[in-house]
Amino acid sequence: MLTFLLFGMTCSLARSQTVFEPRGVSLGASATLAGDVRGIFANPASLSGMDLWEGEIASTIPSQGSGFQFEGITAGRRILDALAVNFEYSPGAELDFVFPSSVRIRGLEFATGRTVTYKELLAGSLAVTFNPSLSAGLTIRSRTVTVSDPQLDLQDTTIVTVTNEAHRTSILFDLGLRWEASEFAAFSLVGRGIPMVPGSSLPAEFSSYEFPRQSGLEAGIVITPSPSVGITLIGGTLRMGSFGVEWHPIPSVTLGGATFLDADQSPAVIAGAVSAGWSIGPVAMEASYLKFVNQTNRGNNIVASGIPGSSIRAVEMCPYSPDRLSFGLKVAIGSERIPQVRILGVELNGAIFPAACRTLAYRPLGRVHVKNVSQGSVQVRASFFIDKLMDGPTESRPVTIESDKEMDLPLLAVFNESVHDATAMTVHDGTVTVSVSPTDEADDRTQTRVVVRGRNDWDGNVETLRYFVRPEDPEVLRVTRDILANAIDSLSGVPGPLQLFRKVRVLCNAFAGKLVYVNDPRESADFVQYPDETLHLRGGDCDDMAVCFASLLGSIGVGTAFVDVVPPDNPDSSHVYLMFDTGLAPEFASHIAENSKRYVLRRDQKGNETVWIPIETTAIMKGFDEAWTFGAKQFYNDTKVRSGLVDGWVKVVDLQ
Amino acid sequence: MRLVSSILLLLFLAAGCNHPTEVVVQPLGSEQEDPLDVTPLQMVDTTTYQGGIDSLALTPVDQARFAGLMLVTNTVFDKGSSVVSKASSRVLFADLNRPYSHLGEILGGFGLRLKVPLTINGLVMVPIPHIIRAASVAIPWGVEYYRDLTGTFRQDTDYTWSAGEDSLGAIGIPIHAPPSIAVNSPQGGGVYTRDQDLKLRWTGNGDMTIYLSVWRPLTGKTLPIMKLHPLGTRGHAVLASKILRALPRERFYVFTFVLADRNESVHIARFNGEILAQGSSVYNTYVELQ
Repeated sequence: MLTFLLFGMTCSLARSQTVFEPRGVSLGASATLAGDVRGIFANPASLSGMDLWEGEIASTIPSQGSGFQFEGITAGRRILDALAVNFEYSPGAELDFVFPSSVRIRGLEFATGRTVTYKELLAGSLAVTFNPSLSAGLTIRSRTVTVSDPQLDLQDTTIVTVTNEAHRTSILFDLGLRWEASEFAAFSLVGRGIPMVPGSSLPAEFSSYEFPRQSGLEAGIVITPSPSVGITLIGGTLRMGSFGVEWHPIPSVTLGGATFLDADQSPAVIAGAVSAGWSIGPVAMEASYLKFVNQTNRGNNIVASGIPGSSIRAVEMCPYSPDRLSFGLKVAIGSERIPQVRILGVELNGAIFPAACRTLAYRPLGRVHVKNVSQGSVQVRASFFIDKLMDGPTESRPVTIESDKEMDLPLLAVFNESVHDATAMTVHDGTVTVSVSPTDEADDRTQTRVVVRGRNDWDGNVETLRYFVRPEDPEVLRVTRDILANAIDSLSGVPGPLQLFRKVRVLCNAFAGKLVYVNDPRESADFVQYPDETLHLRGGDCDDMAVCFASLLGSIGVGTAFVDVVPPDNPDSSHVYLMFDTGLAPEFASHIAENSKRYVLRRDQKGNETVWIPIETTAIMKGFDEAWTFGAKQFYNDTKVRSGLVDGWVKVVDLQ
Repeated sequence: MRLVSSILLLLFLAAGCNHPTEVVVQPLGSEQEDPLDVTPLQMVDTTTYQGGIDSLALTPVDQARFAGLMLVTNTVFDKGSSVVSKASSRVLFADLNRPYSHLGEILGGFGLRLKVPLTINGLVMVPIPHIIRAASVAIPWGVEYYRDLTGTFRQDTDYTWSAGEDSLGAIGIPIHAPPSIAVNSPQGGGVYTRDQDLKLRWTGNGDMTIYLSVWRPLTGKTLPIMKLHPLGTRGHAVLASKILRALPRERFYVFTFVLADRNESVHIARFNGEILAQGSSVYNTYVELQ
């Protein structure tokens, strides 16, 4: 954090303020391109593109200087999504002139030279983002000229030196607009020095040292013909401009060059610069070299009748500014992207039934309605997460959404086993997140209430009843193995094709007189016992029995199907029973039943017909034959006599 | 990454702590100037000041110190509209046992008269009243000797005062009259601003001393306030505007350029006081300072 707090620096342009930030130096108009904390002076609106925290520090080696010199530091922060602020402290933006003078009094030398100091020490900016393509910014900057001119005072036979100092600080405003017309071009418009708030004037004798009072408009264009190349061009009523090019041969390396122009000077090209930068993660380092064409008056010692303040339009880019090698170190911390998609709403299909929750890995439990608020098409993913019930967010497949378009994205969920722990209904917070590929950062996030039913709750749909069927349950396996092991003698002489049929008969008969039909304990048709619970409780209603025997038969490899009956004339008397696949070919059906009404011929997925037998699972307490007879009658009556299958109120749901 | 950033930051801060270098601005057309040593002088009492800087190159200190004065002087008074040259020799032997006092202050001694003629290079010097001025009143107090040398004065020449045996003893004292001085700047009658350095330009070999005095045209008095001593012989020096600004807000000043050959160890057998023998060239240029 300390690192962050200390970091900072900005760039600028000739007509604005300091030009010590290497990228700004090399690119001339780069800050318009930069779109980050370094844009403070080029165009304050550029701040809108910066990360959550950004800072830069810069140092230079001036050609006529005393070595490495600290130039300045800047720090900026995004506030909310639409605001960004930046502050800069630049002690290196200073020009000191000394007019050497001394007097010798009684053999002693007294320095009386005048010094004139120009500083551009402090600045601050605020940027507002109206929409992803339009932003505005305001820079407030100070500049100070200080004149120190020691005077002598004759007091009888002695002369004493008297301090005589005057200074003037002006506050200037720059107002900028930035418009990204497309991904290939952006435009910049900056009003500089509007309005200017002058401080107290210098005394008349020092008035020639005043900064020039200039205001003007400056327009710029940024062209990005490819993601790796940026070209900037700036000019305006102040008759100064720049042309810059930036190239990324690889994403982490930046090379740049620029020329600076001044129509009031000859030649009009006043300076050129080159730069190289390298970035790794949040840290970017850059170096640049700025060379002025006209070298007159750029040394440590110059000969001049005076220093006209009007020529010092910017401390770092005036006729007295030295050539310099600049170094910059920029750090971005806590990156915060501008959202590209927004969640408009979330709609869940209903409560989540633990028994059927595995289907939610493929079948949406709801959908999120999103809008692409960016300028281009984006690939959007949605993810859904419930803490404790899921090991992690479950993402949907990415879909492409065009700019300004809306779309529904499915919400999927992969639950862990904890979802089966609750015996009663619970309510959870579900987090819905949308993000734009390929980043992992969330563009938008919302929470929604999710109702998770108890582990035995059933939604009444026979399609989902299958999820209560558990042939692999240890208790089911143990029971069927025990029963069949005890009947191994009676089964040993049974011909192979009849083996399955005989095993089912043995199995069902083993429960004769041992299971009791019991209504749902909660007086609800939506309560279903898992097979181990039915075996343990030795009873249940029709759906419990159907689930239990589907599990038992399934555990010995017998195919089953639910027969769901919802009589149209009495829907409340809906009923579920079972039919199973004997595996017998139709020509062997007579081996188990003479009456064809007692069985059903059904085709499997391979097209082979086999003999299926309906059994009323609630009647198994009376033995297999009774359950078969009752089931066959019921099935024949419902499907053949009353055309239930044709009319749709009888459904056969395979459990394969 | 944070560690790397911190290290880089510290390197930047540690290495870049130099202050921007100053740009020294030399004025256009600046020439090599002799350094000028400035010595403020004690303000004289205008009621008792006897004068003498501008005409005799004689400072108030000299007047107070030496009872005997033997002077040969070539003086130019340059007021722009008029340039007047005068040359003369003056000799005074003041008897400090007979002082003239004003309000308790001794202003001078009684001028002794020799019983034998006093000559300079064979020219007889004329005894004239020795005048002491006090509060605008001229008081004759003995005699002094005077010889006008205007028109006959020869620069860079030895002069000798001679007199036969007298109550003071015989006199035979030589002195060298230095070369004449020409001052190009400041120009007599010129108007100069205190906001700009004032160039001092002169010709004349020797150890130049320049006295800066307030000049009051109505009374004709010059009140020395500063002695300027160029530490060179190029005849170029600059009086800084800061010095000019420090001067009293008087309008008229006179720069008195003095080349002097002094002999402070003159001895006359029966004269008790110290004697100064001095040959001098003096150039007064009168200016207005704004």
